[in-house]
Amino acid sequence: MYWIVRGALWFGAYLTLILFPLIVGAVAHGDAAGRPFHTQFGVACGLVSLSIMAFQYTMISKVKTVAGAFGQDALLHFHKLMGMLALVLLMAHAVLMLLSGYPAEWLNPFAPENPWAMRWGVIAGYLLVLLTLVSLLRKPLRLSYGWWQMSHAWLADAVVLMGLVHVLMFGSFSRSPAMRATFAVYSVIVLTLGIKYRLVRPLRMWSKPWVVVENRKEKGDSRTLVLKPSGHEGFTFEPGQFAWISTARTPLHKDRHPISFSSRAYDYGPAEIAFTIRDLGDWSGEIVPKLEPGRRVWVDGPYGVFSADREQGMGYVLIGGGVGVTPMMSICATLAERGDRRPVILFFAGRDLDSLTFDEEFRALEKRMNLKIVYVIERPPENWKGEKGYLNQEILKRHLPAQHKRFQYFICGPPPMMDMVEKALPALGVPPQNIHSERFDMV
Amino acid sequence: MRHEIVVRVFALVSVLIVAACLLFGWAVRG
Repeated sequence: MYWIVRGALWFGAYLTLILFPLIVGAVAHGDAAGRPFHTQFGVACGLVSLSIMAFQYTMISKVKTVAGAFGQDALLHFHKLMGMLALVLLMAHAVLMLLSGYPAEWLNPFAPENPWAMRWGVIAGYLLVLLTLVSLLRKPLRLSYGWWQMSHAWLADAVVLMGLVHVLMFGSFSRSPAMRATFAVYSVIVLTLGIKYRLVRPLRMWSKPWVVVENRKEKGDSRTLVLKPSGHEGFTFEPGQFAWISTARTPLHKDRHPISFSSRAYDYGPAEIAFTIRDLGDWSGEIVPKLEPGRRVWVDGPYGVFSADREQGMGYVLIGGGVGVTPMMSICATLAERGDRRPVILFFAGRDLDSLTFDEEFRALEKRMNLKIVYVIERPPENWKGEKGYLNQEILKRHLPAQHKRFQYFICGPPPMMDMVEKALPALGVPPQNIHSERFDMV
Repeated sequence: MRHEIVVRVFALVSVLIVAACLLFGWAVRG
């Protein structure tokens, strides 16, 4: 219940921020009132689109209190949906303004006779279309994650800045001092957050580097990076959480990657930490294998609410597919180290036996803790006696314990598997609040 | 589960935003 109340409060605050310019406009409209309904509706769409864009950054800026309430992957999902809503509202704004009699020639940002107050808004609109297309088509276009991250941030900054200039120079409602004050306060909030998370935090990270101790190859096209803090005490984390890793020369570079901890969490003080990364091309395939021991890297974390420590139950069911087993390794290794005897069932899905990252490590843990491993292999060898094909509701039902409704469930893997499991578990009577999932495949 | 909730919250937020824009248009119309 606490989670729901906290969530409702955050979204109430968010919605108020987004809609506040409309309240100000409705109260202090000056001579802007009196135009037809569709024109005023169009103006509202434009104002709200700009507000959404201005606060898009707060959702991904890793504000710990916000990320802690929802989980950063859920926030990224919401960020993406809100970005698309901002684009739809901007298009509605353009169409309604054209219907209100504004000339279509103004849509050409290169025409020198068009007023600059208008051109800034039009350029912002085109950049927002570009920003959305680049995000939606990142994978088909094979754009590197680092390049995309950097262009996404710069394009978003340009859209907000140009949109703001357009509203202040051209907008009829923005002539009122109240509206100007609102946008001035919004600019201060956005600038402060921008400086804090893009400059102050990276500079702080610069003084706390980590050093590669080991870079070893694992089964399933993966590599484990073992890191130790250099000149500082590091940090502690909860099993299941993740951090942003940057292997650039400085932490000021935007090339950062969200990776789950695969090592056990230390309860008494910091120590070495490990991340296991699957070769998915670009950074993971080209840069990671070349990270030699002694190389400095930057770690920003820990983040995430996908944590076995936060969700206590009579046992755990861990459902991992592909490289999604890495947080499960952290959870199991931590429980084994603590001598926790609660039952843990690991559904371990993979393409074939050779693709199972940490297979041997999990088997070793079976001897140290109350762990049962259920392999689900897509292409098993001929004499295979275990589960075959893709994980499904029937397989889950066959292996879940009698008291499975009182267990906590952690899911991490390919999106189709996660979608299936998130539907199957409630159908098997698992309470929704006991189901926890982590998705990184956001863009 | 959180993602399903996210989609529902987004649907609610979208409806509220569009309703607020319509209400604004109606309130300050000529």
